[in-house]
Amino acid sequence: MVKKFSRSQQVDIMQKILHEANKEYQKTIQENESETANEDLEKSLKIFN
Amino acid sequence: MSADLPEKLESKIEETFDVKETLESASEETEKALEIKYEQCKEALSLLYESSNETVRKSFNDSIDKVVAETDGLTREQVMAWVEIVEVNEEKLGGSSQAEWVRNQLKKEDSDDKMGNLLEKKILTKADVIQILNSDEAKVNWNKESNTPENSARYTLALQAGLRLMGQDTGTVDGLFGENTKAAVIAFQEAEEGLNVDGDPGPLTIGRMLEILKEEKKEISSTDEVKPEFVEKPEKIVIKKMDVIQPNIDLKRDIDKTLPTRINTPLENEGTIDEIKNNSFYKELEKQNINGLDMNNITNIKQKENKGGIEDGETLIKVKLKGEDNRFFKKGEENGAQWVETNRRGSEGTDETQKESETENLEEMMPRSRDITMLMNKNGGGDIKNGKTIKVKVDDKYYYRVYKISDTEVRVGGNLYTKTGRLSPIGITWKKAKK
Repeated sequence: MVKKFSRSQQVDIMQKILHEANKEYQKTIQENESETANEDLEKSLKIFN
Repeated sequence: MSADLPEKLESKIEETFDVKETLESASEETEKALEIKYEQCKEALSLLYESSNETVRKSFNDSIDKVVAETDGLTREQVMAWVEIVEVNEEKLGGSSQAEWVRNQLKKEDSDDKMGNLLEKKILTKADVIQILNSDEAKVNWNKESNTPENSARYTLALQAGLRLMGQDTGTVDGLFGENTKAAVIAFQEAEEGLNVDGDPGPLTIGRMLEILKEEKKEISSTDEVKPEFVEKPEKIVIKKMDVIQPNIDLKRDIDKTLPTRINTPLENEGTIDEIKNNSFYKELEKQNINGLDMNNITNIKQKENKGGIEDGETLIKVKLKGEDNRFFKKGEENGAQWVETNRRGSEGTDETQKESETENLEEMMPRSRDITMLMNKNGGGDIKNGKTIKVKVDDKYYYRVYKISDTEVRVGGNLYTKTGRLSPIGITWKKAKK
């Protein structure tokens, strides 16, 4: 059985994935920061927080 | 009752406005706008998928798993098919004697191929599929008794991947022509007019598949319900750039900014050197090679109104230079006209009058605060750039001026906006700050 998603639904889903990816990324770099002093991550946090 | 309830309520109400506006905006979008958005999403996702940053790749894989789990009837394969990537399950290839045959066959077939060994790559792009299906391998003979290709496992992989890209369910993409693959061929033949419905992917069927795969705008979707066996996250993915749609350079840069693998140093003026080099005036000036004009020092070029002694038909431009005074050039409308430096400044008067003029424009273009859900650059989206005054796109129709106060604050009209950190395919979203 094939379920089709409309173009608009496809865009919504892909946007959601991008949004979640960003959230996951922010979470990970925040966790990592407490363990290691990564200069790049610190700079990233300054920009994105 | 909590003391901060009113604030929470206000926030909720604002969110409902956002949702309402999103719905209204979606209903008004033209098909073309939707296609553009689709392409942007596709490119953004493929950039995350191919990122050299392991954390970014992991974030992508985790998020896709999460969204798939939350969305009824959605599979990872489906999403990957929208991005035009089909993942090959290497593990499944080694599990049986048939699979061993596929593995050996692939090694043999791919040894001299420009695309490299499919077992190494683990993914097939749409371009790969088209290339393989277009090759002589399409003339392969099928052994209907064993339901396996007699000549090419690589071709079977491409066939399965192609069917999946067009929304058919082939089960696994494993190089074996089994019942699932045959059923997918039959489903495809039934859906297309003028094809024999026999499950045999002959030249006519393959030809039709190629026609569809080569159509950029053909709507594709993927199968669901039957979960392919290799739905587990691949532990190690060899990244390959998509060949069909070249990543947009601006978008790539913006995504890099959004999920940073490096820190970009902002320029002091409006725009980056790369952007200015795309300016048509810049190109003309560069071609003309004007004595004393250091092209590398140009930070911005703008066309000005023809006031202050500039004739009708002439074009006047203002060239902003880093560490130097602005310079003005004019050009006639006749063919082959050259840029000539002028001390006329067009509509630009003194600094004071310029400031007034910009303020007037700002008032005229001031949007209602709740009209703005996303700030975006005039030339292609992304995070708004460093600079005193830039134009940004807030919806599909209008441009407004934005004053960038800091990396996290901008002002539009009388309203302050702060960065939310929320990602969209065109950059980080900004929200009106609470007073």
